[in-house]
Order: sequence, then structure tokens, then C-alpha cells
Amino acid sequence: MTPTPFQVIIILFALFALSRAVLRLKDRKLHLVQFAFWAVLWIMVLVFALVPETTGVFARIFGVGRGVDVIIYLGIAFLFYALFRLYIKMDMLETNITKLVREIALWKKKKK
Amino acid sequence: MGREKGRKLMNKKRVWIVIAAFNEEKSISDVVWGLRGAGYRQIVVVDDCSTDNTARIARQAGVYVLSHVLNRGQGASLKTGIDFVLATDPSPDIAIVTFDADGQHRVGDIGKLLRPVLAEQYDVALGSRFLTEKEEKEVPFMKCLALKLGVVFTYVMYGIRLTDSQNGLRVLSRKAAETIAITEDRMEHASQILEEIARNRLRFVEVPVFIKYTNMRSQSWTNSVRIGLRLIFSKFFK
Repeated sequence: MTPTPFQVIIILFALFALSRAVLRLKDRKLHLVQFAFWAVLWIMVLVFALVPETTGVFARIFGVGRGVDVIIYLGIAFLFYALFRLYIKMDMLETNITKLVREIALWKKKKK
Repeated sequence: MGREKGRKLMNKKRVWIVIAAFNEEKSISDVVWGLRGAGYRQIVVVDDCSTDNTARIARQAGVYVLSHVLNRGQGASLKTGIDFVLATDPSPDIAIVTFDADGQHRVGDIGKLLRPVLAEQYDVALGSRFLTEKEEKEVPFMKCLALKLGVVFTYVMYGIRLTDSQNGLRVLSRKAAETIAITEDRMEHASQILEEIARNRLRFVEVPVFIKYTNMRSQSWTNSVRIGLRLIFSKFFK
């Protein structure tokens, strides 16, 4: 069966994303567990794109009408969670920057 | 006897003024000299990485100047100034005044806020522009609306009744300064201070003050709404 142009785009993007994850692992910017997470995610996307019928299995498990709907629902949930994690991380960074800026200001004053 | 007690209470050696300043070269000189002229000697200006001559002008006025190497906001700057005061002056009976750098506050109002704190009747004195009819009339309508929403928000969230929830002129006792944790770096710190007052059950009083709305960069009402939304958002994500 010839893949549709949409499938081709998804496959190419998943392969690209997977290659980036491998590179980040090589650069040691990703831990093995983090890499495993992204690898599983993108391999699943590859499988769904190559064999769309597999999404039907998930649809039956979750009790959702179409397989593609399961992916969309899970995708949205995941994005929200990722956003939440990013917000927390960013907030922590901001707090630490402020502490550092404050320490520098007080230290400079003390030194004078 | 009464006058002696009054003099003791108004001993300005026990008073520290903390000013958070960001690009306030036009007003900082008048503000600092106004305070010095009124007899306040212990003035701390926290320059929040201004790109103009704010720090230099403040230094020339002979006050303590602390400099942030990155812009961190008014809340962060006030906390830096308060930390400096607490570390510099170990006296248990000091009072810390937070005063705006843009010239919107009146030096003459400080004394009214200091009295209840130095008399140890209250831990915190908060300035309010809504306690006298004359001063209330000066507040632009949209600003007034945003501030009143802030008052409702403060009551709903922290259970404390106030007339003005976003006034930068306040006096903290040492106990209050040590207890109140300011972690909100930007303008949300004003509401956080109120939250901390409620959480730590600090004794507070509102005192009428005058706010000058001419020739200054004031919070627009849209900005006030934005601050409120950010505050609500931070409540759910922290």
C-alpha cells in the first residue's frame, strides 16, 4: 500500500525527531531515561503513521471511537503536562536568578 | 511627658527608607533629597539595573545604593533593600518604610504611618488613598475600579478587609520585615505582602496617604488587571 503524502510527512518528521534525540544522547544532554521516553514516543508515532490500523487497538482499550482521536487526546494531555513542567522549571530558574542577583548586590555593597 | 514620648517614637535613627528604582533619573533626586530634607538619613536605593543615571544620582545624594546586575522587578528590589537593612541594623525596634521612586508619595505621610509601628501597636502600617474623600477624588476612574477589584480579590483570597490593596507606601516593623517572605519579583509583590500579613497574623492598620498622579509613570488600569491575572495564575502553579 502506498503511503499518503501526510503519512510521509509524519514519518520523515518522526525520523528527524528521533535522530535529534540520538544526537542529544550522544552529546550527553539527555539522560538514558529521558532518551528512552522520547525514543518510545517517536517510534510509536512511526508505527501509527506506517500502520494506521494499530491506533484502533488503543481506541478499543480507551473506549474512544477512532484511533486518531486517542492520539489527539493523549497529545493534548501530554502538551499540557509538558507546559506545566516547563512553567515550574522556568519559575524555579527565575527565583534562583533573583537570589543570585540579590546576593551579588549585597556582596558588592559589603565589599565597598 | 507626651511630647517626650512622641519624640522618642519619631526618632528617625530607627527608620530606614527602602526605595526600589528602575530608570527613575528624573525623579530620584527630588525623592531622595525630599526625604533627607525631612530628616531621614538611612535611605537605601535599590537600582534595578537601570539604563539611565538613577544609581549615579542616588549615590551623589549620599544614600546607600545597591545595584542589581539584572532587572528583577520591584518586588525583588524591595526584598534586596529589606535584607540589606536587616543585615546592617541589628536593632530590634527599627521601622522599614517602602517608598516609591517616581515621586508619587508624599514625604509628610511617612510620619503618620510610622507612629503606630514605632509605638508597637501594629506590625505593619499600610498607606491608603481611599480613606479620605478628598484623596479618593484624585484617583482616576479606571484606576479606581482596578484598585477596588484588588480590594475584593484581597478579601476573597486572604480574608483581610482593606480600602487600598496596591499602595507602595508602607511601614514594616522588624518582626514584619523578617516574617514577610517576598518571593514575587514583579508587581504582584504588593498582594503577596498582604497575603503574608494574613498568613502570619500580623497586626496591621491602614493610614490615609496622598498619591500624586501628575508627571509620573503610574500603573495603568490594564496593567493592574494583568497583575491580578498573573497573581491568580501563580496561585495555581506554585
